[in-house]
Amino acid sequence: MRFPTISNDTLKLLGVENKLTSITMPSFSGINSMSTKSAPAMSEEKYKEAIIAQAKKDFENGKFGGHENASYRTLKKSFVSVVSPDRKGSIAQMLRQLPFMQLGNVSYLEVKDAKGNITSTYSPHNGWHAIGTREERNRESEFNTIYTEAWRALKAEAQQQVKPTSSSIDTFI
Amino acid sequence: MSLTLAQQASGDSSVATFNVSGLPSAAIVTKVVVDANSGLTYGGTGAIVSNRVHIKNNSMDNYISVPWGSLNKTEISAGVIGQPAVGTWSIYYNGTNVSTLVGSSWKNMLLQN
Repeated sequence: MRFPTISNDTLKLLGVENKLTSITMPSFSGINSMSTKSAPAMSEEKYKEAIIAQAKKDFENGKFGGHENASYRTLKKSFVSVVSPDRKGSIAQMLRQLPFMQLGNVSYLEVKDAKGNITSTYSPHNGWHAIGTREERNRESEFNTIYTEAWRALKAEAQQQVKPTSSSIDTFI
Repeated sequence: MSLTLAQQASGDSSVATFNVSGLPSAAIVTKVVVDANSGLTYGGTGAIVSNRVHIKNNSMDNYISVPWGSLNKTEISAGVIGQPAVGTWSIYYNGTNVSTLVGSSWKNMLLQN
């Protein structure tokens, strides 16, 4: 026996709604977007200077990194995404290859790079998640080291400056 | 973090979040240990094997993914060392229902930190 295919629109008209969410591309622009490979915005030397300048700015404002720190996160994203895999391309390619009727029936997806490492996952309840590659982890670690060393050097310098010395104490007679 | 899977299916649990506060603002992470021995409960007709743990804080773009540790204890260092400790952390795990029995199975992991 052959059953006719009923589209989602027809099901909706009949009052039967497909509760499964159709899978869509994640966002690749903006601070909270998924990381994907990008061209370096500056030379490595300039990146280092920018990270140290960011640490100085944050120290002066009483901050250390942070989710709400837009310039810190933008710089970190720019620095790390130089070594990111092309998630945008690989996800788009995978969605193109999925049969149309399966787009709303995916319960779990893994996208892997050429080496077999998972670079992103999808599930209807969590959406898309980027899984950091070894290169991204190393690059982020490099960012953290430069930033933290610069921030701590500034703090040590500031503590040194506030230490009272005999010559700095005013005396009144 | 709960995970329900049909037979032979793999999938991700829901994401749990927790806040780290009360530390100096410049505190950094040296190691993360996920000990799931006291917080796991199971149900259904199958058996879910945990594959990997994924974790990130809210100033990181990507999740760190490591294999589920032996005896339900997973130590994570690569990728989290040097990260700012203060903030909101997100964690979930991935599992597979290895049962051949028809029906679904669930696994729940209670977060305590």
